[in-house]
Amino acid sequence: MIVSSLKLRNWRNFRSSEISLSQRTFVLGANAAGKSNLLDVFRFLRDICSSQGGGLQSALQLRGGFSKVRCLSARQRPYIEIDITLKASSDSEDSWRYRLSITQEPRGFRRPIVEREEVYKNDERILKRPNADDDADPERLIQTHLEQVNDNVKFREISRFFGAITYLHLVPQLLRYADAISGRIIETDPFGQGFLERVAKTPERSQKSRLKRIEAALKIAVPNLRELKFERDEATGRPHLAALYEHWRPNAGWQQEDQFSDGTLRLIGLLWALLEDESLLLLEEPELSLNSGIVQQMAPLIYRMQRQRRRQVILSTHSVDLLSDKGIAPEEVVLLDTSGESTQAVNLSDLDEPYSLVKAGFSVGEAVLPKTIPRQIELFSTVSD
Amino acid sequence: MVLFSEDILLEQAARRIIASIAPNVFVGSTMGNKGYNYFAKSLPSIKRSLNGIKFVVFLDGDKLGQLCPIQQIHQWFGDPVPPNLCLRFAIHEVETWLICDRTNLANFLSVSPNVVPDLDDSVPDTKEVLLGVARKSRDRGVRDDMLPAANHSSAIGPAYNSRLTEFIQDHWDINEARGKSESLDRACRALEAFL
Repeated sequence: MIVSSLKLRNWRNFRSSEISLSQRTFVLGANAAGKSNLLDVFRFLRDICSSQGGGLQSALQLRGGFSKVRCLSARQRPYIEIDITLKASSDSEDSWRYRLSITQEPRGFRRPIVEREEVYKNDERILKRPNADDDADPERLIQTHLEQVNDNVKFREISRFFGAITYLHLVPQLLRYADAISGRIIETDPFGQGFLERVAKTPERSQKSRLKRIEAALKIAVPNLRELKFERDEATGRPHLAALYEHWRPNAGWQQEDQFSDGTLRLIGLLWALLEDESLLLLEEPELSLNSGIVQQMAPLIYRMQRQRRRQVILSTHSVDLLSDKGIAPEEVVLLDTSGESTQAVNLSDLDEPYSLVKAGFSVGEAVLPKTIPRQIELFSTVSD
Repeated sequence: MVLFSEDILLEQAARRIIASIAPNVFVGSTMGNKGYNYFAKSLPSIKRSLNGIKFVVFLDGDKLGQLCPIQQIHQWFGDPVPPNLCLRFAIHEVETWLICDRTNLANFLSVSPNVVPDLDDSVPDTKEVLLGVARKSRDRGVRDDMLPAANHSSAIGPAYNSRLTEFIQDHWDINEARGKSESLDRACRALEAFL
């Protein structure tokens, strides 16, 4: 299943936006434009549907409460609304639509409550709330039906889809020093601390075949790397990745992940994630710590890895190199426009000028990134002390 | 020696040409790959570097307009051309050089050989021609990679460059293509003399 469109009202810094999404979507914007906030919509839905202590109240609490999530420039109608359409695949007609509005209790504890919750299957409405049960017992409105196993039978499919959404922002240092830091791992491990454990738990056959494909990609990207394998420390049983680097002394070149470069670790984590699952994958700035040659290849690499599992990828980026690939279509790009009071997310294909530039043969990077540079960037270098 | 190319496909083609005519020459660093405008911006720096460093530059010829290649080079670098420079144009685009190896391209794209047109440097806009050939491919993978998706308005598909890179590296017969494309033949001869 893929998310084909998204409508937001008063979500964080988006007062009102509507965008369409494709199998591969690139989210661009200046610093603090709200790229992470946009990705957070999907993480929010995931948190509502999470099988371990999920739910609307906890998803809002995780984000500091209703008032932190609602747009500061929200006007007359102070509710938050997420309206999302899903399709079986990018060219399929079968669709789901989930619409959720959240507001606060008018008095008392002012808890966040469901103002409206609707589910449509192929345009036919199969859920509408508040319903008679909610009128009889308003307490029910503190939970969505999405999170309720008893109530979501007819649309379990979309609840599962949201629940399986993955967010990845691998921080190489956390993985490399996992033992020394021994930090708490957040439930879905967005920062990759438990990455090796995940590799270890994968059934041997898929583990081997994924590592083989990652190895093939790495051979192109990392000079002198020849082989990648998974192993366990004989004494402690700890899982490790080891890579063989070409070296004048045979067998001298095996290195474990604590010696890998940041870029190599991030790339392995990213490629693994692409092969791991079929649900939506959110990537935060995947270009970090990678050299520009590899970053230039990243868009086609993601596409090629996606082909196997049809996994939808939404990624945020700043990188001109990543967007230099002319195979990126304007329809795959979402631009965050900060020129107004609140940020507006727009599809590049809806903007005349950059759209014409890309059609004429410029890459998205050339056509759009100048737009995301703050207008007074020249002054940046004059800031001192 | 520095290899400066307009885009990634030209760089791959240049590497194959250099490897085939001068296998012992080591390409020190590669630059460019960011389009023609980047080349235009880099022009002053390239000129200054030419005092001590050899530059091989590959550009698509579709920017030449009415000028002939040597006029353009004189405009940029003066007359005589600096001895450390070898600048070649693919006329009109690098795709011509690939299409001129008809048999291998047909095999690679899974089309019958007569689908690949028999053309030479006189035909403009050969990227379109090549996309037209890919459209007739029997292999869905080729079509998906090389052509933009149905509702997408990019000029090329998501893995157009990766597919053609694979072709250039593993299948492209330069000698076959030289027979048809004059600009490729001249580029090979110029590099032979230069390296």
